Amino acid sequence: MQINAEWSRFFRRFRHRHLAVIGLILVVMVLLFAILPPMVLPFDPNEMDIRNAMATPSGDHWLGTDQYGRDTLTRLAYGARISLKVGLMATGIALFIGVVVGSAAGYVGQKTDTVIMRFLDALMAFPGILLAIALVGVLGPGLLSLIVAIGIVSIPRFARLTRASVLQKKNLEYVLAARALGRPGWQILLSDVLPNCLSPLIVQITLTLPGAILGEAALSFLGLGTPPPAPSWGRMLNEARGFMEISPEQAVFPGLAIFIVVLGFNLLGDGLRDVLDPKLK
Amino acid sequence: MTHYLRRFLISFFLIFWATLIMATPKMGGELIYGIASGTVTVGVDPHVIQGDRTGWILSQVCEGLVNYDQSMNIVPWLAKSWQISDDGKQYLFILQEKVTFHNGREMKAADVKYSFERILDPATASRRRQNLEIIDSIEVLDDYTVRFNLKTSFSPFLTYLAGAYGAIIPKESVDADGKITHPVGTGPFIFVEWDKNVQLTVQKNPAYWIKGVPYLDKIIFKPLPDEAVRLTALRTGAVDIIHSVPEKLLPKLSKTKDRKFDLSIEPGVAWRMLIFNTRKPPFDNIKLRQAVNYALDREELMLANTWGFGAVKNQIWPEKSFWFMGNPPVNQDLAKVKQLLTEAGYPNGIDVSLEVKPGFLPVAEVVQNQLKKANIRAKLGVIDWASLKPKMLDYNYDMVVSGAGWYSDPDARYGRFYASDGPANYFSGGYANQQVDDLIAKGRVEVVPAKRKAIYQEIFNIIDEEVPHLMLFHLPMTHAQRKNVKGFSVTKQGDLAFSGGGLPYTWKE
Repeated sequence: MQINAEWSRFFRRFRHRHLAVIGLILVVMVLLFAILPPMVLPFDPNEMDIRNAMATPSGDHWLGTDQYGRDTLTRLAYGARISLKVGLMATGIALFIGVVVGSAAGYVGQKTDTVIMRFLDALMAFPGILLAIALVGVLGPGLLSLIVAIGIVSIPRFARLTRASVLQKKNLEYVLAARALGRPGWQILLSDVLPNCLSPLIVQITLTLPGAILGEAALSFLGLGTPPPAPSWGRMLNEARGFMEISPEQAVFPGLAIFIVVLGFNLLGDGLRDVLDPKLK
Repeated sequence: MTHYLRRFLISFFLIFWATLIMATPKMGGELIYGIASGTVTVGVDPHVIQGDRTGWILSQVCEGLVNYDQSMNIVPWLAKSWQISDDGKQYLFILQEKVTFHNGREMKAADVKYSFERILDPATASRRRQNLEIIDSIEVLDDYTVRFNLKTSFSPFLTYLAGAYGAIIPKESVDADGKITHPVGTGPFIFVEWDKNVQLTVQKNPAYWIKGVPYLDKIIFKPLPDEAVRLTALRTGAVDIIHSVPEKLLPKLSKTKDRKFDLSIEPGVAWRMLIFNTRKPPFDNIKLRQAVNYALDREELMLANTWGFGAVKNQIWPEKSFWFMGNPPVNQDLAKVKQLLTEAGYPNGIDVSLEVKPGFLPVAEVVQNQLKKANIRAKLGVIDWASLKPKMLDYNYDMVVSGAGWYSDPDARYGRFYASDGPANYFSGGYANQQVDDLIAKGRVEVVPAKRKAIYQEIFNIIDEEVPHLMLFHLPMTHAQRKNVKGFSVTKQGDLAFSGGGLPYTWKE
């Protein structure tokens, strides 16, 4: 009963934040775009049709074709899958490792805390993109390297957030009571402390995700992403750059796609933070 | 009546003088040439040149005994005439007199002997050494006469003397360690400085042995590897001439009427190739190589990369050339591919790797796509040349996409690549065929042109059958220059200094 009331209050507040609603709509649109078109569209994203290269948008090709005659709309849709895959998995890695590391630092405290936090400070001090490039350079180009590199770069934020929440909660009565009863630390963390840190974590997820997607686009733009002919948005943007004089729309479409995804998640994240924030005490 | 006559005479005079002025080259000025590469040259030692750009630039400074004219014929240059003995083993050169090096000293026969001995010295590491090892000795008969004694007759000899590669240089221009950091020659321009990764500067040689040229005071060669940047630099006037205008823009540019620059598109000599590693499986199997050969649609490859401005050819020789071979071109034949794959032992297709340096990636992407249809699944790897070259020399790859250019003598074209000890043998995937080696050796000593041609026809037939690498398509040669640049011309391989043409004959209005 109490949960239902909380949820309905949440939805009402959310509904009133119009930008957040727009963000949600954009995100859902992108998700649908990633899932549906590949099942519906007739073209193979890698099917070349050289004699039909750089075609302007038409009935056959709604967004035109690229320099090899590949259908742009299909490639954008498959590219959405790559972006979301990298975004979600990188964020997932950052979330998992960040929470573990952050709660360890917050709960155990003292030396462990200091060591972990200084290490994370160093990690955060590096410009994210440079660090990601270095990591991909070591691991070699490819989807997995991208996910790992971007994931690692995103760890510090999750760790800090978790640590802050754990610090707040660890001296509360029910936690002290559980410790007195001899329950192991990790059990206490899992069942009592962490569930109350969910709100800031959810918000951080919706803010890290677009950053990860942008990171994937940037690295693919630089040629460090999945090898061709994979339809990564960043790579499509880079290839279209050389053709700006002839077919500028080929650069606009992937750019617009990246823009919409990042904007959608950012608006959603901002909205969620506003709605969930006052509930934090 | 006299009124009209006077008007007519005045107009006639004015037009006459105007035409005279326009056609007369204007002396002086500085020209900036945009080079389509990150480094305008690989080095400044003419005997250790690699690549055409380096040749283009250093040929402004250093010259050889012979040179090319615009149709790529060999013409006398620093050697004003020569005689070849009947057995083809002795070449007597009579040198031009009163030719001075940039340091003021006159060029004499002793300098010719010095220069070639330097090329032949293994310590110099000259790429021409292998081609000129046929030289047994060089004799200085007097100040302007020098004789080359060859070990056997060698038909391509004169072509290997041409250009900056066989430059006649003064001994004093070589540093104590045997290297050249400041090239000195007899050329129309004097080397000023090379600021690596930035630019290379040359200035007019006022004492050049051909009178009246060069017109320009100074030329600066600037590196502009990025296509878009190169074209923008031309449009804004930051550079005066560029080569390698991006092919993707050719359809649009050739239709534009009010460009601020002149565009020239000509059949080019640069071509792209697909190299098989013939020393290791799976491409040590001829049938598999032939399968790939028939799987490709070369017309489509050409269209995708040159937007119709290139050409599909099966050899470098143009039809009117003496060396033109009549073999029919290979067309795509997917049925044949299937048969060959089965015969090769891969009825269900095969997975292979395809590696390429970033500049040739668009070619590789289309190759990959075409091979996929023939059930040959190629995984693409993009590696920069500095890392790819050692892999190739180690024979650690399956297929590589690369390119090559023009060779004026069939020995250069076939010997370099298909002789098992040829300097470009790794561009044929390490191909080694004793029969071909023997034929190439025969072709070098044969002096009767018709007999020579028969030998190279045999070689061509074998290569056509065993396909160690595949010729894909030819690119167009493009130049673009600001409208105030006059008199600029190139040979079909883009040479910038040749008999009667190139940058020495260019001026700015």
